[in-house]
Amino acid sequence: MEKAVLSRYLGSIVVTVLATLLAKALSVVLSPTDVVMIYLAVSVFVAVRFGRGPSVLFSILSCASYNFFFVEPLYTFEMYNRSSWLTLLVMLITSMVISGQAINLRRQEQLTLESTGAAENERIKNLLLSSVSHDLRTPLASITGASSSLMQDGMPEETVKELAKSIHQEAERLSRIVSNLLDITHIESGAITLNRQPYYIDELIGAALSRVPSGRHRLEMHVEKGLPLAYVDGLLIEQVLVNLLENATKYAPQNSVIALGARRSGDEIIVSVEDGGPGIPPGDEKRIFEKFTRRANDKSGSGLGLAICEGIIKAHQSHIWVENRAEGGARFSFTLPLAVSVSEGTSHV
Amino acid sequence: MSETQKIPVLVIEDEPEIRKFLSAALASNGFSPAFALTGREGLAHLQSRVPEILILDLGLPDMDGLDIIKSLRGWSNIPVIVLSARGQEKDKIAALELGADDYLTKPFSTGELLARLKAALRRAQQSVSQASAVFEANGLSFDAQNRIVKVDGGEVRLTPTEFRLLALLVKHAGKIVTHKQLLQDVWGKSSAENNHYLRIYTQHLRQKLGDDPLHPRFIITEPGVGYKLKV
Repeated sequence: MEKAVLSRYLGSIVVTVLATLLAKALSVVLSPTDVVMIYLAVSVFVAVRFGRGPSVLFSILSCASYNFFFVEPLYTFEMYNRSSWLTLLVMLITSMVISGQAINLRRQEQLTLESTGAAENERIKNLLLSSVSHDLRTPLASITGASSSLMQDGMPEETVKELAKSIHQEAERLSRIVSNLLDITHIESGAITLNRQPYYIDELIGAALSRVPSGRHRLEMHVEKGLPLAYVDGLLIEQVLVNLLENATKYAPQNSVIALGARRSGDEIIVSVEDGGPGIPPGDEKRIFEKFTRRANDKSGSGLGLAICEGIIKAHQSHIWVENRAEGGARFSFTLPLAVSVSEGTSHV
Repeated sequence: MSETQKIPVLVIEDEPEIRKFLSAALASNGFSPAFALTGREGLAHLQSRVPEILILDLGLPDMDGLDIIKSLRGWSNIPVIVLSARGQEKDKIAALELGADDYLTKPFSTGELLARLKAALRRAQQSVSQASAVFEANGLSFDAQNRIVKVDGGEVRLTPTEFRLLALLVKHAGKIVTHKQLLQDVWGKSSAENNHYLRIYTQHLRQKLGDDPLHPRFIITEPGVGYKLKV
């Protein structure tokens, strides 16, 4: 820090010397008043460039140089003429005022710039907060309402069961939202560390299927036989599959087909989850992976599931994308690296 | 059910609200719960009178829950169900490897907890009463003494490694066996990092048993943790 301050003062001195040399060179054609103008012009530059202290130094140095080099008798600090004193005084004051103004101007400009950036950040933060607090408040309202009803006397047993069930469901929803928020924060902070191991993708699909109730839909499997081992964090890829399957069961009409596929493509495995739902509005194929994006009429989700999927897949240096199927509905696909391609020649083959 | 017939369970948990609901759920489902609020208190209780089963919160204020398991396993084989917060995957695996029987991630429901408790108690009883008997579940029959494996009555021929793998899963049937435990017991200590062996042999074993990993009938995959034989 101190070095930077010193260099600004040095800069101010160097500029004084340069301005004096320039003025001296031009003094043949310039009147002494014009020389004063040169110093004043340069003082603006010094103020903007080096700030208050160095610009005061410049004002003093330039007055001294003007007296020394341009006021008779030359090359002394003496003066024959009383009016020269006045010129010098006016020059000093003007230079100070100009630099003061220039510095203020610069500061204001910075403040404006900073506040625009801050306002934009603030706007995004507020948007996220309002979205999150709405998501949290809805289940909380149900839980508060239902549990306070339970505390009243004389409830029919049927109603007690209903209320307890609703508390349980809403608490689970709250828990999902909080988990998702923690996941996305974890992913976005870059704190995610992959525990990569070789896995057969069918094992992970099987584990994910056991976590998603799919009784309302018909499941179709298109998993290629004999797929090689993928090199992934099994728990996280299971999470991606669960999120995609949950989305599919949420949007696809009852008894429609949800198709799960896995196939090899070069050095990768491509996994896909297809549903017979409404599909993605054209143009939203990228936006749908952003945080807090929900499909139309969806009030139940946290708007984080797909953002989490994208975060996990990107951490694997892989890709995830969505397309609409010709026959209607959405097809989400992601790639996974093979164990062999990562560890050829090492112990993982 | 009289008080004496109830199954004594110790709960080591510092959160009062969790204790409150566990107390209600356990007492009304055939258990007689005792509570310890700290690890020290819990260990003292375990040393004076051993319950039939222990419910242990891993996140205790005074000591690491893992140390309680380690210490308990020095003198007792009672089933231990671990309660953990989400994202404590490493702790869960460590708990299983130290000899915990199962884990529940908070938040969990009473139904889940009771199911785990009953399964763990059943396993504990079985391992005492029929250590050498033939294991049978879901159409799989495993006769360790005569080295005969049958699926739906038809004999299945396994290689020695596949047999060791299945034997270990059968020994801990219903309980997750971690990757490390499987690798150490089946292949020996040196290969604890070579997970791909485990994948490949498990795949072979599943193929021979006619077990579809997409809809497993016998062997359940627990990603990041291990495998479990369905009971």
